[in-house]
Amino acid sequence: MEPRSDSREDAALARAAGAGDRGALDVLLARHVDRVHAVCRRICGPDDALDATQDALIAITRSIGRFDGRCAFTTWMHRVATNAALDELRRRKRRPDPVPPDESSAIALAPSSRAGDPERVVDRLDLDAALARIPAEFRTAVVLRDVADLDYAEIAEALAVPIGTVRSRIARGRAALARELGNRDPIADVQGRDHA
Amino acid sequence: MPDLPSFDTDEAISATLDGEFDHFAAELGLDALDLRAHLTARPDYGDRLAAMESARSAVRVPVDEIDDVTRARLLRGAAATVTADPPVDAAVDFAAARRRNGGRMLRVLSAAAAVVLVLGIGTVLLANRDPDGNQRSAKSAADHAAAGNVRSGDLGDLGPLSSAKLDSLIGGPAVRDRQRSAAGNEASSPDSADASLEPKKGLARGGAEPNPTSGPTARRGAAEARVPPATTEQIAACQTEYAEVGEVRFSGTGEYEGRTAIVLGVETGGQNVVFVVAANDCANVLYSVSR
Repeated sequence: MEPRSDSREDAALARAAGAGDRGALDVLLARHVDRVHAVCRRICGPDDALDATQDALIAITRSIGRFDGRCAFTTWMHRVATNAALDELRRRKRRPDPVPPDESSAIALAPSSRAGDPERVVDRLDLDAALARIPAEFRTAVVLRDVADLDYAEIAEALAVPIGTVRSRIARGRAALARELGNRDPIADVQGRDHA
Repeated sequence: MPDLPSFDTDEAISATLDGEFDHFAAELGLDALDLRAHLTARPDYGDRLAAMESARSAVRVPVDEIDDVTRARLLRGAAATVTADPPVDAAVDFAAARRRNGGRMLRVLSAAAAVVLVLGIGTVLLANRDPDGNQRSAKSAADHAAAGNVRSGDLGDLGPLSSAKLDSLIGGPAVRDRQRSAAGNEASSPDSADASLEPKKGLARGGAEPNPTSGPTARRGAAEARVPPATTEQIAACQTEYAEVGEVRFSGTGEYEGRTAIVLGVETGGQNVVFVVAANDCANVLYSVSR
């Protein structure tokens, strides 16, 4: 199936897809698969992102008929993607981990850096490790804001929580993430001296 | 500066970054300008703002894009669930079950890849054995015409599965393979070209012929099948797993050698392949045929 262009807005495509228009559904999925993947990638991490993305796309396909248009399609889609990602996380917890989490080794992946310039010094491994260490509810709220670009009201809708809770989770998540990103500096610096 | 009720500095700063500061102030019943002045006067404001901004910027770094092949596979995987049409909850449960069986997908892919490879070789042998260029062209034209008759969608209960019935799903006689298990313990070599052109050969020739119930039984039809048909959930599970192999064009259920089987038509690598798999184990390819 090749992604096809279609000038129709998401809402129109979603209505058509919900009414059984397979082509409209194909266009919608092709249009948003990368966004779904990005959300799953940041919530689940690299190992489970594709599984979560697949589950999210399947769930969207299965339940598009129940999309009622009361919120934006992307809000609904991100809710589905978030649920799929969180389900994947729950399944991951039930699976035996072949390599026990080793905080020091995860941190050691990071080059010596300063938290003030993330784009330059934070590589994917740093961010994945840092995100993995903050609570899932905080991480989810942060991802929906900064990856999916939803506003607080949309996030509240997607997560079915009050806006105040969204604001609190995002603030706590960012604070925790900043600590995680900043905390590695002393360790990295020590390693740097050891290697010198 | 007026006294203000206590508030969470991080929440205020985070809301500022997101353009939600006015709402935050309103929820506290405060004037936004007063609150902002109070906030920025705090000695740790600059450090906390920088920390929040760094976290925000880090998360906003775009993730690596998925490659085209993976993207297409993901979309096919979703599309393949449309035809089976089980209830929503069942689909979600199925996805969960699929994840729980971690090695199963690998088994399916291995089995399917082996079948496709064998059938591909058979197709090449067939083409090379044709001694007459004109005849080959005529045959090719006929094949193309027949290919237009490839079935699609939900085929329902096909009853006892014969080679002729399976051939008809992809437009006529084709290249066959048969194997007993996903691990390929008894995977047959490609049928000879002669056998492929004679679909009524028996299993003794090397396993080309599905012969579930010969004679009158083969004509009984689905209503009199001795085994129950595969469930919708089983078919949906196999559809999704074989979506990793190619585009699932059709699916159905039937009886093969006295057991419940699922029939899947998969388009992959320019071939239409019919897989007959055990209903209780999608990775167990019982028989296959391609065009």
